[in-house]
Amino acid sequence: MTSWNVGKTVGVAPPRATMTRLSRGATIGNPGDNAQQRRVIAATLALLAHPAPLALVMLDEK
Amino acid sequence: MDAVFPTCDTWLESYRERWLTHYQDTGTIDWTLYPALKLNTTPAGLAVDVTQANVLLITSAGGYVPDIHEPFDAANDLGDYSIRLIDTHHGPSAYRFAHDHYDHTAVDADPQVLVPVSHLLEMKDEGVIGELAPQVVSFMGYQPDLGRVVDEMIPEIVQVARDLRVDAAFLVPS
Repeated sequence: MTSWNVGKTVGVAPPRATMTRLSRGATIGNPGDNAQQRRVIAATLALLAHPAPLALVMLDEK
Repeated sequence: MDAVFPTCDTWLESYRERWLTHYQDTGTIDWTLYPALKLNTTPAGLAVDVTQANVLLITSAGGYVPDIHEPFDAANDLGDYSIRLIDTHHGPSAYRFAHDHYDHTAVDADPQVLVPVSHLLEMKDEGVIGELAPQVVSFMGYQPDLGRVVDEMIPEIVQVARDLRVDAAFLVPS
């Protein structure tokens, strides 16, 4: 999963997750910014290459 | 349920005695009475070769396709625990969103910010992922009763994942 909400994400303990500083309601990226949206998706799916559980991975996306 | 949510009974007791009772008595919601959730166990899983994987997209944004699905009961203070299965041939522009608990400005401008189905189909064509499961699982993530989430919704989603033979799920919360 990917999320902008660190607190709630920690609470539900997902096996793999990326975190961003994007806004509520725009989890994958800013509207119309296809490059950013693809980066967030790719970075999140890339976590599958590692056994879970993984520590949360912070992405520099806002 | 204990394997998923080991403190569920304690959590439910607090939820029912405090948050739910207050709502039933007053008709108003007081989030200061809502019990915090902190799971103690993180699910383990083997590594997955995403280039060979069948990936299931799950969104909690309340997405549905008018004329095919009933909208979620977005106005229900007690939540909606049902799911919709949306064929991936419906592009993002086909979606509408029944969820009263986030600002829809971004998703109305570009539905892929919460339902990135076109991006994932492109990634399949490019070989980044093996397959995109042919249906998106959609639910409305305002669900205060976690007991119903665990007992009703999650088993339904797990069954969908088994039926579609997916290797991984990509959850996009709103």
